Amino acid sequence: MSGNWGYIAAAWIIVFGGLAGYAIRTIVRGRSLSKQVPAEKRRWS
Amino acid sequence: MELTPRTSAAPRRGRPRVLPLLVLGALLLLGGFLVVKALGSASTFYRNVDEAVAQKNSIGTKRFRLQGTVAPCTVERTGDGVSFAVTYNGVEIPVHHVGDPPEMFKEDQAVLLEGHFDADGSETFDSDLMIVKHSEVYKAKESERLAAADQGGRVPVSNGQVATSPGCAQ
Amino acid sequence: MTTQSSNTLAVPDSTGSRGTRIIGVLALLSMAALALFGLVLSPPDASQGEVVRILYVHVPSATFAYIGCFLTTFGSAMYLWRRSRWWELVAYASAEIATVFTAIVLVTGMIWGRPTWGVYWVWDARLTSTAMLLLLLLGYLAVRRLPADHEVRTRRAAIVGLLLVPNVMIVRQSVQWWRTLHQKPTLLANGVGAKIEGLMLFSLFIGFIAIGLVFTWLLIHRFRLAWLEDQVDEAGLDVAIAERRAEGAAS
Repeated sequence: MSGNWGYIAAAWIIVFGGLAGYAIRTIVRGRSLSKQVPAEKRRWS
Repeated sequence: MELTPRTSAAPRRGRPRVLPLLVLGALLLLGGFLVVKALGSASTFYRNVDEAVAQKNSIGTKRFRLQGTVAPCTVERTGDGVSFAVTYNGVEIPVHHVGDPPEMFKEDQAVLLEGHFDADGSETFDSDLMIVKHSEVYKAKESERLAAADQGGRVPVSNGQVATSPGCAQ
Repeated sequence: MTTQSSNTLAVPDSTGSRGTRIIGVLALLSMAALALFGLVLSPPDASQGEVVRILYVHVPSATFAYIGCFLTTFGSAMYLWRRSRWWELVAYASAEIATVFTAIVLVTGMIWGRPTWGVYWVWDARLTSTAMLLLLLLGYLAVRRLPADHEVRTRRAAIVGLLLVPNVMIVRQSVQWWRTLHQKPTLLANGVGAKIEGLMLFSLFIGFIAIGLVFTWLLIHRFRLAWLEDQVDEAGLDVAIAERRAEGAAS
């Protein structure tokens, strides 16, 4: 049974890593595009 | 950067183009048709033991998937794999499986076996691929152990059933 | 948001806001709680052993992949019916997030399947229809990004988007309609908790909260990014038209 921790670690790393990677990519693209759009067109909330 | 001027786009804005939409719709319909076809054959993804025995004449030695529960006190190691009996709906047949069974293989466990009926005409099923079928019930191991201690020390492992064969008369 | 109302210079150059920062902090905290309960405090399963821990991320990811698909189909319908560009952006943003979640569902499911079933993949109805869902989502994203007139792209994508919920229904019902290797639903059978107990149920519950917060955070940011992409697109178009006018005037 102990060998199964490898599967668990792989699955959790893929979930946490995948979500973090996608979040960072979204943030970075948002920052770079924000600079090209006038401020009055991106007032959130 | 997507700042390149798209010269063809500007003058045509707003005029709907029907043909590409029709082509896309046709492709999607075709895809949907394939989906239904592919999933339709899923109804014979496996045969239960009793069905397989009933259809034995028409199946012959064709390859198919068999589903059943590993009968208690029948599991024996063989030189190239494992032999046991598999049961479903009161029908039980012997199985010769070639290869190592999966880690979770045990008595009273539902399994899928890929293979065919033996060529000698008996009900023996020759399998070379075994998949353990998992149920949708989840139970903590700890509480099982505590319950077992209360009942006097026998250690059940799978849903209250004895895993190995302490009770099997050899 | 005191800075935004008066001074345009104070608008931050990002898709973040106070709201998303609060959701983000809550998401991080709940993901930490999920790791604590899912990996440490919850017991191993009686028949699966420790691998059951994979399901605390697998099952909530599947649920929010479905929710993302539902949002995309609803947004696509609102776009086709009401011409709502706001809903079109919601549809696009949630389609991309649903794609990420569906991929996570497939990968974690395969990793769970190897020690439990003995195989990574089987072409049963549940797994096949989930793979088709991923293909359909990728098709939506491809059609939405294919170089064409903006309205043509969004309309084509919206038509693909309409198919997502039917596909999700097939995925959901596949274990009831057909014989599958994948097990039937645990949570909604015979009332919550009938087939899963105590700390295992609680860990799964935290999984839903944590993954749900991450989904919400991603959706807001991705929506704002899609909005920015639209603005840049339109600005590019204006530049192109202006250039053509300038060329015409010069010749």
